[in-house]
Amino acid sequence: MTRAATVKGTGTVTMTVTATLLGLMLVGALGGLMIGYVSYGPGEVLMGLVGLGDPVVAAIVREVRLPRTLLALEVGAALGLAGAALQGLLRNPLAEPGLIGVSSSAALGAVIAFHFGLTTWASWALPVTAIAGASVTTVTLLLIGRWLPGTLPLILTGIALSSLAGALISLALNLAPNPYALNEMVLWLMGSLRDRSMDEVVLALPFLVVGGVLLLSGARGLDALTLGEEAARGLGVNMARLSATIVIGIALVVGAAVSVSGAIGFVGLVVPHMLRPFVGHQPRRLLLPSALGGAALMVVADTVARVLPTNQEVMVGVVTALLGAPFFLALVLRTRRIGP
Amino acid sequence: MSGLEASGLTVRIGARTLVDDAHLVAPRGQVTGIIGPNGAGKSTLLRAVAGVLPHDGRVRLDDAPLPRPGSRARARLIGYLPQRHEAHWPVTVRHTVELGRLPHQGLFEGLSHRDRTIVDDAMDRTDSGGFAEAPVTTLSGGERARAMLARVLAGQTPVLLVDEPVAALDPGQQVSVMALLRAEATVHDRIVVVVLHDLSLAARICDQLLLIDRGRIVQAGPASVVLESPDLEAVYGVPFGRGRVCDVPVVTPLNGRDPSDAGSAHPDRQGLRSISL
Amino acid sequence: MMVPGRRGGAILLAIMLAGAGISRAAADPLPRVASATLCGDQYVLALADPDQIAALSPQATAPWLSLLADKAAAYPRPRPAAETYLHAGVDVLVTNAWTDHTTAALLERFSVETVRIPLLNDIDAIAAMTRDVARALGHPERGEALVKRLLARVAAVRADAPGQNRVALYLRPGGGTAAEGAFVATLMDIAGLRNQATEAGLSGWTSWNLERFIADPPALLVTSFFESPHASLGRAFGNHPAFTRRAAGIDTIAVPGATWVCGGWILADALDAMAAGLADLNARDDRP
Repeated sequence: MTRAATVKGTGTVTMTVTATLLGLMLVGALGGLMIGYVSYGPGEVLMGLVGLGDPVVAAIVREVRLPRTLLALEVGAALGLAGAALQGLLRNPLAEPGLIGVSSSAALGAVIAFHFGLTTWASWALPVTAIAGASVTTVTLLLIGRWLPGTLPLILTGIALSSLAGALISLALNLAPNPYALNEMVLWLMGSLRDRSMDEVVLALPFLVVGGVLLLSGARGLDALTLGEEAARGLGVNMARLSATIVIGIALVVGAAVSVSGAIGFVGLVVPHMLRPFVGHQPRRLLLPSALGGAALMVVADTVARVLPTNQEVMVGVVTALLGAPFFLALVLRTRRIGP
Repeated sequence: MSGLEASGLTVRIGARTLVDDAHLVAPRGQVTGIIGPNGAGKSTLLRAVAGVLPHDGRVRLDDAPLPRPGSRARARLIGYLPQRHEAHWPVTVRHTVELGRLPHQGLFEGLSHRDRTIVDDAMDRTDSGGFAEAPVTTLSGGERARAMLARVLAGQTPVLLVDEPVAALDPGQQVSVMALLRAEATVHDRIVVVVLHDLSLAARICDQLLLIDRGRIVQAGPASVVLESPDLEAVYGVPFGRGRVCDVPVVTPLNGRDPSDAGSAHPDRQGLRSISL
Repeated sequence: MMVPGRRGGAILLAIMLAGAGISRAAADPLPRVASATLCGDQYVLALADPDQIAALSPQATAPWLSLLADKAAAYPRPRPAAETYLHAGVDVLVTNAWTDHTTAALLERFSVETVRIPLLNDIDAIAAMTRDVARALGHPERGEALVKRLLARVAAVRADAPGQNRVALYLRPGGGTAAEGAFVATLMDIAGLRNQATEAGLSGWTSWNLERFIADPPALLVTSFFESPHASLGRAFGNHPAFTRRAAGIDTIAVPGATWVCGGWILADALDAMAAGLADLNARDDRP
C-alpha cells in the first residue's frame, strides 16, 4: 500500500458517502413532496414549489407537504447527529439520546405544557418547556458526572431519570382532565409529523442550529476520547468542557425535536450504525454523515408512514420503533465482535 | 535548569495519600526512570506530572510554569502514554497514530502534509507500519503497545512521559523500544521519563533513576548509584545481584520474596480508573 | 324550535315535573343511583329524582363537556371507585361498557346493579338504551318521554331537511371526522346534509386529510370542540394556517361539544343546534 493512495482513498470515500447521503435526502424529500392524498409527479411538484401550475397543487405542496418534509429533515438530522455524538461521548455503540433520559424528560416538559394549557398563552411555550425538561436531565447528569466520573454512572443515572420522567408522564396521563385530552396526549407521545406547518419548522430551527453547532464543535474531543479519558486529557482535551458541550448540545437538539414531533426514537441508534461500515468508526467522521443520514431516514420513514394502507395514518414514531427495536436487538447480539 | 522539575507533589484520594511530597528532576537529553514495587505510586506520580490527575505541588519545565492541565498548550509540551492502551473503536492504526497530532490541529482543521510525514515516521520507528491499516482492536498486545508509542512520538513533544511501554513486548522488542526512547532523549534532546519494572533495562538505558516506595521517593540520582544502593533490597524485600553480561549491565533478584514477609510490597491498587464499556 | 344547551335543561325539568305527577302504584322505594361517566351523568340528571342521586362523575360540571352541567353542581362528584358507591348506599350505578370492568364486577358481588352504556351510533339503539336506563333508575315513564322527544325531533328535522343537500364535513380540532355509521353522520343525514366523508368512501369515526381539505373543500363545515379550553396536543390540523385561512371563508356551524359528547338522548339537543344553524344560513341566503 502506498501512503499517498490510502490518504486519497479515505478522502474519496468520505466524499462519496456524503454525496450519496445528500442524494438520498433529496430523493426522499422529493418523494415526500410527491406522495400524499393524491400523488403528484416530480414536474408538478417542482412547479408547485415555485408557485406555478395548478393552484391547488401548489397550495398543497407548499403549505402542507413542504413544511412536513422540512420538519422531517430537521428532526431526522437532529436525532442522527445527537445519536452519533452520544455514542462518541459514551464510547458505546448502543447509546441513544433516549437512553440517558433526555427524550423522556423533553416529552414530560411538553406534556406539562399541555396539561396546564401553557400553549394557549404562547406558542413558543412548547419547545421551551421541552428543552427545559431536557435541560433538567442534562444538568443533573453533569452534576452527577462531577461527583461520579465515568461512563457507567452516566448511563445508570440516565436510566433512572428516564424512568422518573416516564413515571411523571404516566401521572400526567392518569390525571388527564378528560378522556379526550388523555387520548390526544397518548397519540402525541407516539411521535408524528402530521399536519405540521411552517410555524413548527421555524420554531424548532434556532435551537436545532445552536445545538448542532455545539455538537459538531466537540468532534476533536470525541476523536481523542477513543483512546480513553486519560489519554484524551493528555492530548489536551478538557473533559469537563467536552462533556458539557455534548450534553447541552444533545439537550437542545433533542428537546427541540421532541417539542415539535413527539418522542421519535431509534433514529440516533440506527443511523450511525448503518454508516460505520462506510465512513469508519472515528466519531469525528460520523457526525455530519449521521445528520444527513438521519434526515434521509426520517423523510423516508415519514413517507412510508403515509403510504401504508391503514384506516388511520400510521405515526412515524411507530414506524421507527418497529424498525429500530429489532435492529437494536440484532446489535446487542453482534456487539461482542466490536470493541476492545 | 533545563528539564522537567516537579516539587512537593502530593496525590490524595479520599483519606489515602498515594504520593507524598515527591520531588522529581528529569534533565533534558536524558532518560529518567521511575522504579519501585507494585502499588508504590509510580504510575500515580507519572499521571500527576502529566496533569491527568489532580495533585498538590508544582511542575515546571525549563524553569517556567506549565500551562493548565487538559489544555492543548500543555499537550503540545507533554506527551503522555498511559499504561492501559484503551482503544474503544476498531479504527485503523494509522488513524490512532494520527490522533497524536491532535494538539497541533485547529478545531476544524485536517492533517497537513507535514503531519502525515511525522505520522509515517513515527510508525516506521516503532516498526508498526506493517499493520497500519489494521483495526487497532485486532492487534496483539505487543503490536498495540508499539502503535500507541507511535501515537505519542507523533506528537513531537519536548517531554515524553511513558508508563511501562515494554511490558507486553518480547525481549528483542523491549531493547529496541528502550533504545528508541533513549534516542529521543539524546538525539532529539527531549526529556524522557519512563516507569519500568525491569531493573536491567533501567540500568542499561536510564541516566537518572527515582526509587519510590509507598508514595515516597526513597532514592533519586544517577542510575548506577541508585541501583547499587542497599535501599533497593530494602524496598523490594529481596537480595539483588549486580553485574555485567557481555558488557551489558544486569540487575537481577537472587531469590523470590518470602510469602511470610509482610514487608514492603503491596498488592496492586488501581486507584482512580474509569470503567470502559 | 329549541335553543340547545342551558335552555334544554329547563325543558327537561318541565318534563320531569310532569312525570312526577304520575302516581306510583306499588310503593317500591326508588333506588339510590350514581353515575361514573359523563354520559351516565346526563341520563341520571334527566331521569332520576334529586334525592335519588348519590354521586356524579368528576366532569359533570364541565360546561364544555356536560350538557346538564349547571344542574350537576348540587351533587357530590367523587372519584369513581367501588368503595365510594358502596359507602353512599348506591343501588344502581350508570357507567360505560368499555372501562371499569373490575369496578362493575366488584359492585355486582355486592348486589349493586350496574347499567353499562356502550358506544351507540344508531337512533333506535339509543332509544332502547334510554328506556333500559330509565327502568333501572325507577322512572320508565320519564325515559319514554325522552325517547319520544328524541324521535319527534328526528322526524321533524328529517321532514324539514334544512340541510338542502349541501356537501358538509364534520371536523374536530385534531382533524377527526365522522362518516356513515357514526352518530354525527347520522344526524347530518337526518338534517338533509350530504356527508363529504361518506361520499369519499370512509366510514365510522375516522380522520380527514388536510390535503384533501385544500383540494376539495366542503360547502359547509360542522365543527365541534374547537372551543375546548384545554389546548390539546392533537390540534395540529385545526391550528394549521392552511386550514384556518380557508375555513374562515367557509360557512360553519359550531355544535357545542356537550350536546353530543356521547351517543345518548342528548343527541336531540345536538340535532337542534345543527338545525338552528342551518335555519340561520338558509335565512341569510334567502334575504335579498
